[in-house]
Amino acid sequence: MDPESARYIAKSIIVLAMLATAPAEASLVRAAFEAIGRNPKLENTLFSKAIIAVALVESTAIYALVAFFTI
Amino acid sequence: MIDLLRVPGNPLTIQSEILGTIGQFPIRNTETTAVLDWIFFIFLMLSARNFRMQNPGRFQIAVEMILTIITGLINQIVGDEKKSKKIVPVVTTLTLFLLVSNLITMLVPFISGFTYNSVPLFRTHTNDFNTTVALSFSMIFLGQVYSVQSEGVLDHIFKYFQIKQVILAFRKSVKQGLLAIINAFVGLLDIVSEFAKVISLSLRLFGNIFAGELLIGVFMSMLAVGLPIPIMILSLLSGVIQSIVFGSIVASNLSVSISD
Repeated sequence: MDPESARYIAKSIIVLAMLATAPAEASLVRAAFEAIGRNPKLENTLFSKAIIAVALVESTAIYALVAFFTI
Repeated sequence: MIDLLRVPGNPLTIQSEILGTIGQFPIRNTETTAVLDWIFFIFLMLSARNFRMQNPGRFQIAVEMILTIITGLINQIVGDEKKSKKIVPVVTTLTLFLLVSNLITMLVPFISGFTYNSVPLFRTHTNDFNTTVALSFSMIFLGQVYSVQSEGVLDHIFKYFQIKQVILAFRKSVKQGLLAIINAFVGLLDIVSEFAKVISLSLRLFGNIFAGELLIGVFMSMLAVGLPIPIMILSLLSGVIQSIVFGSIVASNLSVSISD
């Protein structure tokens, strides 16, 4: 195998990391919205915390993106 | 016709581009943005001398509001009155610095249009891996320093190499000694996790800013009118959120490292 095609295969494998990020974010947001639905008074504090948590979860996909461009 | 509305450019590289050299020292385009940051902070410092208790101006109210939000968040994370006295000044400065350097190329108009030898003159300061690695490494190192200050050097080393705890547990009973050996291996793993913290903290910030700028570039090459605006708003939002996330992770790290 020549190095150029190996690079493309490695890039395609790295993109698979994003497959897990989307369900994780979805379940997180769902849990946050359920909590808000049960207790609407908490909306202000819960919403900002949920956004920070989403940013944390998203970082896995971001690592994959950085690796995608460095390979 | 549609080609007129496209702005194709060179794809963004991971490394920042070199503008020129002074002697052997290369000047990169993130360094020129760092100069802008200094100008902003010097302006902030000088204008803070005119802040008064009575009749505060609009600018003063805006600055104090942002600072109140950041310090409130960090106080919430740290929780302890004694610890927060030590942590809040450092982390608030860090968060404010990241906030300004994430947003400065977005909020100053026309700044991304300047080029020098067909290389963009300004590039977001945190869009350089060196900046984020330096920040996160120094913050993790500060955590170690705080830990040594509050417990002493020997106890800090025994936190990673748990020889003392194993001997003490074997004196009590064999079963507790075996459990302590497992804990000792976990303590060894903590050395790895300190380095992993540096990498993950720096890659998260760098990757988010890099991804934002890259997406703007991609959409610019598709259609430059109107289409990049939502992406720019998203990138503004992620710039604000990532600075807060960086600050809160550093704050929780520091609060763990200081023992009661």
